[in-house]
Amino acid sequence: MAAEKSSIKIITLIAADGSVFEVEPNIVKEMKTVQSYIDELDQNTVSIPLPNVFGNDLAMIIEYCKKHASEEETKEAKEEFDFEFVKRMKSDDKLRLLQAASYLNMESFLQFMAKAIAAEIENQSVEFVRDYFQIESDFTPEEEAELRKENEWAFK
Amino acid sequence: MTKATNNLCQLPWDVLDIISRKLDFDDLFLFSGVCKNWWEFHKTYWKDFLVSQEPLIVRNCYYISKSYTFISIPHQKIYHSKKMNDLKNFLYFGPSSGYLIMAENNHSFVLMNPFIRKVILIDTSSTFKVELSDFAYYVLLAFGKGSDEFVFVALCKSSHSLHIYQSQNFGWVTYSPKRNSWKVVDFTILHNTIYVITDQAKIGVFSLNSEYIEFLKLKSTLKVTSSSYVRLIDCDGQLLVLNIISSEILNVYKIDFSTMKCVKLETLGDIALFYAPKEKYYALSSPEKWGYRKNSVYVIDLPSKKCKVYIGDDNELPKFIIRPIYNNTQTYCPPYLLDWCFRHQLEVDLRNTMSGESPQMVRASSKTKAQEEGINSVEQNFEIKEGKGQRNKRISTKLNGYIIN
Repeated sequence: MAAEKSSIKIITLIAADGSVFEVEPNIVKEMKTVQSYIDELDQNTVSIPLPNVFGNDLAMIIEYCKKHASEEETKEAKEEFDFEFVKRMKSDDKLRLLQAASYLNMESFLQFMAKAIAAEIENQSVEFVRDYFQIESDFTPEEEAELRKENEWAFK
Repeated sequence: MTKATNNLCQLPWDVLDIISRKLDFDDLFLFSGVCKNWWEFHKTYWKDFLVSQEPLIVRNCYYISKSYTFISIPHQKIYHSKKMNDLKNFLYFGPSSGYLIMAENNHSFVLMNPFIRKVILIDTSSTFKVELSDFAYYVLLAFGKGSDEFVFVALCKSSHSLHIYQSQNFGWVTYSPKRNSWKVVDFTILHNTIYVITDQAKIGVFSLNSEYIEFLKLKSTLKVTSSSYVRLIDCDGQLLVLNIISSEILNVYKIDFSTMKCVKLETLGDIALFYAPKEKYYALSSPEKWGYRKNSVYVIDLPSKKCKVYIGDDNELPKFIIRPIYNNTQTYCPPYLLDWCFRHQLEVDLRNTMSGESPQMVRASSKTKAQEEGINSVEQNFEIKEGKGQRNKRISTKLNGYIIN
């Protein structure tokens, strides 16, 4: 089994919009969803459709994985990369990448994206957070009141 | 394929969990108010957080922000709530049941729990004046099971008076040592009984009804010298006596109620001890469950702002070093207040609390001393990173090694 796997040279990932990415096996290791799919197959070449991830996002994820899988890069260079990587993302990019990370079951990338999102909603209002996640409140006024009571500082 | 940004309210709980772990107290509560799904998630998340017995480090930096933060070493996380900024001028005594016990004036104690967002004020004006200096009291707060009623005990370090407050009858009981040649130096609550220890290492039971201390008739006694001191702690249903002989030697004894003997422990077994400056000791059983090692002593070293871990081996207690806060050559006052805080609630049975009847027999300890696989005493450092309370974002990201700004 292990020998068969190592014979796979290139993995083809097909994004939701049909764009195609060819990556080396060590890049997809972090994507557990893809890796488990590969493990089940007994083929030399693999082509995997990812209907929940857009091409642009997949390109970013692969870029991230390549940087972090690289043994030549220093820790500082990786940190610098992470910093720039987050900086060039818009809010909805972050949310899509978070969902992609969740779908692809990428543990450290998911942690990384969660951290970036947490930093954005820090010290903001509920309205801001709802707006950010494009969520409409589904609370009844009674529930809102209960929630407020639960979360406020109470004096005994 | 659906557009990825749809339906974010339905983000899987494991993703919400990961985001929640990155958020601070205030944001976490706000997060729960976004939609019903997130509220349901938050309730579960917070319930788990509150029952955790993982000790946190309480830190107050006097000079920079004068505000409290909580640090989790295993999770490399700093917690803070804006509300805690209001506490800057309060005097600090200690933590208990997740509450910080403090005072602002000499006629009341202020108990503040940032984890459940509760503040309790206990008036003392009719009974005694609260001593206004940091660490002036040893404190303990315990709640009735499933109840808001509580018992609060404070032992004044200078006058050695023991004050007990019961919320049920809004009443204080004070025990003052005037007539005695000995002083109460520490206490704990075990099996609904208040145990006290004197400067001469005698252990007694304090009865609330008779306001009297009855000493245990132990077959062996501890020796104390002028340079050593004793502490009383309860851990996993056992009453432990710590005899701190020097800044490097610690003896631990267990009170065996079936034989009424004071048994010296060879190792700490499945227990970790936690030391904080001002001679404060805490104990935790099964520490490995919470990311700490058994048969170890965790020492907060104030001068270096580090937490050092001293690990014992198979048949030896951990060796450890407590450095004095004050250096002999100069009067150096560290700008930090550091202490251990356990967030979970201590419980007592209020119906038959503190009656002071003879102590119940402690169930024969069935715990085999779990043996460590030959770990020698080694020293590890966990650095408590410096930072400003209010600039939490910067610190917590630094702790995790990411630079996100």
